[in-house]
Amino acid sequence: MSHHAPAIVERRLWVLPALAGTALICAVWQPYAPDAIDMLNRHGAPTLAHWLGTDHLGRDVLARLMAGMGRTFLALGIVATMCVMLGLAVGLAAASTSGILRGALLRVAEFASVMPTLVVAIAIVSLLGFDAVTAGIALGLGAWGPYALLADGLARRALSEPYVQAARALGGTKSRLMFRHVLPAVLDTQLAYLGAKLGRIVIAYAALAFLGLGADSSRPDWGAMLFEYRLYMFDHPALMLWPGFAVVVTCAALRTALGQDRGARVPASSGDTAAALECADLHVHGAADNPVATGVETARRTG
Amino acid sequence: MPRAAIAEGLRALLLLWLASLAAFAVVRAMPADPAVLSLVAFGQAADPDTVAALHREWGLDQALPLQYAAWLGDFLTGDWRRSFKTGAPILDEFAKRLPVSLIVGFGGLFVALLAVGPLARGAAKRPNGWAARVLDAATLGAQAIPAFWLGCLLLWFFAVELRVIDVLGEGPARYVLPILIVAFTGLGPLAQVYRAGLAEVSRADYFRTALAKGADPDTALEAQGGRYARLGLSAALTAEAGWVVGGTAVVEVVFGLPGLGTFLVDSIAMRDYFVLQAYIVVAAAWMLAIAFVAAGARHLLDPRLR
Amino acid sequence: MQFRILAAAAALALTAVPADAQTRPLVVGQGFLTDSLDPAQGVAGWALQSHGVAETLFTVDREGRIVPNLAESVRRDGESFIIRLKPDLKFADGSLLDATALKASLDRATKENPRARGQIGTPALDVLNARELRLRPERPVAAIESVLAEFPLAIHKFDGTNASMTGPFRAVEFKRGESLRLEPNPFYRDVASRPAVTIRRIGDAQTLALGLESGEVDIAFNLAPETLPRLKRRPELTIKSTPVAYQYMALLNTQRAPFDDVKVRQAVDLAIDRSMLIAAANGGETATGMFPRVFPFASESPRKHDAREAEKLLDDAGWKAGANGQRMKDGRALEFTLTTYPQRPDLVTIAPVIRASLERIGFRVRIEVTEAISPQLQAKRYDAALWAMHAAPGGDGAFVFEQYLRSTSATNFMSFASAPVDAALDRLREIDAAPARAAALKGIEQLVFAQAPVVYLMTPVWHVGLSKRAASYVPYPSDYYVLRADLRASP
Repeated sequence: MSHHAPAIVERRLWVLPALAGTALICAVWQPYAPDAIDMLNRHGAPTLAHWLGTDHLGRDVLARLMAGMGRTFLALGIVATMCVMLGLAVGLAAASTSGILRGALLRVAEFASVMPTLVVAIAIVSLLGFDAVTAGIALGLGAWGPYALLADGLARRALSEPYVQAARALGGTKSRLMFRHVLPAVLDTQLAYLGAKLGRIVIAYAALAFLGLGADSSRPDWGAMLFEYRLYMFDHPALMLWPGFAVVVTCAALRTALGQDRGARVPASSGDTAAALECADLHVHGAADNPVATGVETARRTG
Repeated sequence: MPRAAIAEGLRALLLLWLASLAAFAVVRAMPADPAVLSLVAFGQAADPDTVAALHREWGLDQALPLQYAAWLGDFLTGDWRRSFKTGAPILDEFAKRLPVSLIVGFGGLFVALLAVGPLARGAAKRPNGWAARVLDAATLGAQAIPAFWLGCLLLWFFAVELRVIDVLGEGPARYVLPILIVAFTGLGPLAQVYRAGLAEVSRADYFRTALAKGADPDTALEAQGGRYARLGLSAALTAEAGWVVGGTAVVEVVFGLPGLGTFLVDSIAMRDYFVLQAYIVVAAAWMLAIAFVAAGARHLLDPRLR
Repeated sequence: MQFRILAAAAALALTAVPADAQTRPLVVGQGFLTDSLDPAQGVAGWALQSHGVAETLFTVDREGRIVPNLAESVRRDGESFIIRLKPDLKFADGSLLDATALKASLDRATKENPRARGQIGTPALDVLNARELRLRPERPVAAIESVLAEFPLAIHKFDGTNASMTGPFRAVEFKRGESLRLEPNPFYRDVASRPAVTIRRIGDAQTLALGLESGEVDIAFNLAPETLPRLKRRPELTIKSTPVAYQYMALLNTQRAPFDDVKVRQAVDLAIDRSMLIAAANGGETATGMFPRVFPFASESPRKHDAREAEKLLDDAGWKAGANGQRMKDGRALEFTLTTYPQRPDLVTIAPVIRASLERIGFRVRIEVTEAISPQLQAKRYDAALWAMHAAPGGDGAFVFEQYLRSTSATNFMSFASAPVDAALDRLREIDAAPARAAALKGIEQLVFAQAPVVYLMTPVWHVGLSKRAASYVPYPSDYYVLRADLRASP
């Protein structure tokens, strides 16, 4: 009689649409063009015209933060969709077959879990060029493995539940069983797990933008802003605080909405799932644990 | 269970082979030619003759499948080739740099562990107490404060203002600040897991029974929930350990430590193919090793799995 | 409990002992460090020359002229050249540098290093006598002096494990990627006046500034301009800024619209407010042409900024401004992509400022950052590209014109073809005297300005931070020679 905890309890779910709505507004409207330069108003202090002041090229910091929020949530949506879709497809396929095919599917998911995400993501981004969509795809490709392992573990457990076995004995088709009984149970936990990881994805995207190898570092991404403003940290500390603050607030809001990232929780009955969760954790950490995976000007200042 | 062990081993080998294939594919798919980048970086003309000469020198003039086969063969026999940029054998570079990254990474995790116990116990007992608040703030802070920003601030404070340490210090002292920063970033996730485990126990019937029998809450929590929470902690710890290889690049760069992370960043910029390929395989092997250790730890800690 | 004791021990480990300030070597902090002590490997020759360890036969002086260094002279002899060495030269291990040692060095460089072969192929070398060597390159070489000044041909003696070189310093201890300890080379003139030096590789600009502030770095090379305001507030530090021999420019692809029209090119040249670029890059000088002002043959007057004149040119060319300010002609918008590359952070910084200048007069500009810009330029797959280059690598201005602006050159990325320019370059080959060459170069510059295939932008400035002990250091206008024989430390 194992029953898994309801995925969504005492969470302030209204925060999520509010966040998404804000992101949408930020994506389509900013008080100024985020790239508009005003060399006569460099490092401007906060005023009524520029609520958060201006940067070293006289660009409006608030406009850049807002544009960055839109881009962050676009990437976040792509990563989340990829993780859930790919995870469900591969995981449920693995759970409903056996033998070589199942082994192969699980190996692929495990393989996706052990590849060092950040390097792979950087490579993919350098191939496709950096923008919110390609970065989302790169991070999604690196992050779906654990979701498949998790889906497989949960689905197998659901398939062995007495009521599912009974339904099967009554002549339910496999696909129907999957849709009626297994999918809801899996999706529930899958989404809870994803919810706990959203903050991490925001940070991974920031890290990728910070590294931004080959990307236009003047584009308004929170990570890219951190990179661009890092040299002013002693003379104009506020410049670097704002994008960092944006990351914090977003992560905090996501946590309020979806509960905490508790790392690897160990369900009381399944070593399999625990292993999957662990793997998942391993992996997402691998992606980037702090907004700045590294901060180097690799540019050689040589001839 | 030798058969199971053999199967596990084969599985790991299969994964590593896949990783090597993917490493090769991904790295070679990156745009920009390392020969051109290297010439341009030092103000030399990237004329076709010189580029072709570099390609021959580096063995990049063969067909890709042949290159892969040759590279894999060399890699397995311990010849990891030479870096384009430094001309040094990559295996030697890794051997020299890996310890630096490991000291910083594991040192940081160790220091974080020292703080986890007291903080998590306090937070589990009083969910709104100061320990819980410190923990929440630390978790968020660690997520959001860029590590190099923190690193620079600490450096400025201790080295420029107080002059108690050297920015470019030699010897063991130079590891102290990087380790503290890694500990700070690792503290939140570890303590959260431990606290969640303890909290779960404190809501359990058997724990309430123990309290009703007059047990001291601290002792009872530790006795009843300690193992359970440690189980969760070990899982989280393995997760943190996963990024020790290469994940500490920030602090390495800020503090000028010659670790794997700095090497990796340089190599990405210069498209140092063999370094990147070797790194991806090593990182995958590291992940597998960590998962293996984690499974062992789980068996030790979790009576249900024995 | 035992944890607390550990923590206390860790805290104690924090207190480091400062080295004796008197005997301490001068510490140089910079972003690059050689990867090898063998100048025949990769680009180690370049780095070792910059570190004051390696030398070449010819070198570039402060004014950017090519001057004899280890060589006394080189003279043409049919297809070959005869190199004559200065007398009594020694390697840092005390052995003689004679023609035989020179042959061994050049043989090894061209055998080991494809970059050296790129210069002279595999040359035939004959020792004529103790001080003279005949060199016959594999293919014809025009300016042999500048080839002999190139870093892949740094002169060295290799004994199977170590290389000895001839510079004012020699290596004592090398930690790859980290530091290089140097002592004065005892076989170099006036050895006693030079201090010992430690070069530290510091990759992060902020860390470099902190090291200078904390007194650990004596010479901080190439400080990020953003850190200067705070460093200048410290009385014990000296900041010296020097314009460098690099020039920033925008190359325009004359085969593609809209830059196939000379009026549009001239409009771009006039529309860019270079003072804004300099403000964005935190320092620099307005370009006068192809050459930074440190060169004796550079043009004198700064490039003009006149937005109104630029708009008039666009009007004349038929690009009419619409209601939204965007210019159109025959239903096409006046737009292009500006390509830049991240290896020069300055260029990425100034690109949006250039865009702002041009959008003000009716252009629409897209910025693209690409990691490897050379192949794109080679294939002419670009509209306009920002470009930084050493304007006279061999100390002579003819080289870049030959490379970039001669109609038949493979590296003429702008597809620029001008008979007058080609003819002027032909005439320049016959001119030997420096003043006459300078005048001829300025004449060619005028021809190029009229056609505007290149928009010259600015000369960057490099900043070197110095402690009291190193206050006498004079920066060189390039990073080819950071440490030189004239380095002194004050007590």
